[in-house]
Amino acid sequence: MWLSLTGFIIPGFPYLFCGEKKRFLLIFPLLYVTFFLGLFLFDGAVVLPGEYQSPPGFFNPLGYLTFWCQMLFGLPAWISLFISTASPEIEYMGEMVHRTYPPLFDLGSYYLLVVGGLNYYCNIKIYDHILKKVK
Amino acid sequence: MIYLFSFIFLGVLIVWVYSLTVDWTINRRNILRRAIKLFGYSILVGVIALILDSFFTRY
Repeated sequence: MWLSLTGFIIPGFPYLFCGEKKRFLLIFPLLYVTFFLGLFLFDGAVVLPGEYQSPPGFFNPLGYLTFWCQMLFGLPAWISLFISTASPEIEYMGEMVHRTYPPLFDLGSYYLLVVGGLNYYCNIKIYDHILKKVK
Repeated sequence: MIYLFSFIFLGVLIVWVYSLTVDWTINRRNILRRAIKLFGYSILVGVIALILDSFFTRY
């Protein structure tokens, strides 16, 4: 079980640790390429749910759901969240302004959402199918 | 169009990763067979999506 949980810190690695090297080589690049594609479209960072466009004071359940699903990708997602919260303002034409997002940021958000969900699925599956067999 | 291709890509990704986690022997022949099948299905879905898009989308 602990081996399966390491996938929530370093996505894809449980397959390597339990000897499924071929599966690891097929799954690992797919997950990371999609994650970095999402980061590229989303201006390089996972953001807090409050950053999603909604009126001030409005509770946006989809924003929270998206955020927590993105966080399931583990360490890479946590690092990018740390970067985005550490520098919420950027310098633009000599002035510090709040971070703005590129036009395809919602698409990037979908990529991150899907890859977080897939990582969760892979970890559950490795527990169900491989680790239980070993026992 | 980029949204359509992205959603097809994400759909294919989900099905492919799901397929990889299921029990089957991973060798070149099996991978190729499944990849060709998935590619065919994704083309089919893309064509259907484009037809539906041309009927129902109003700009």
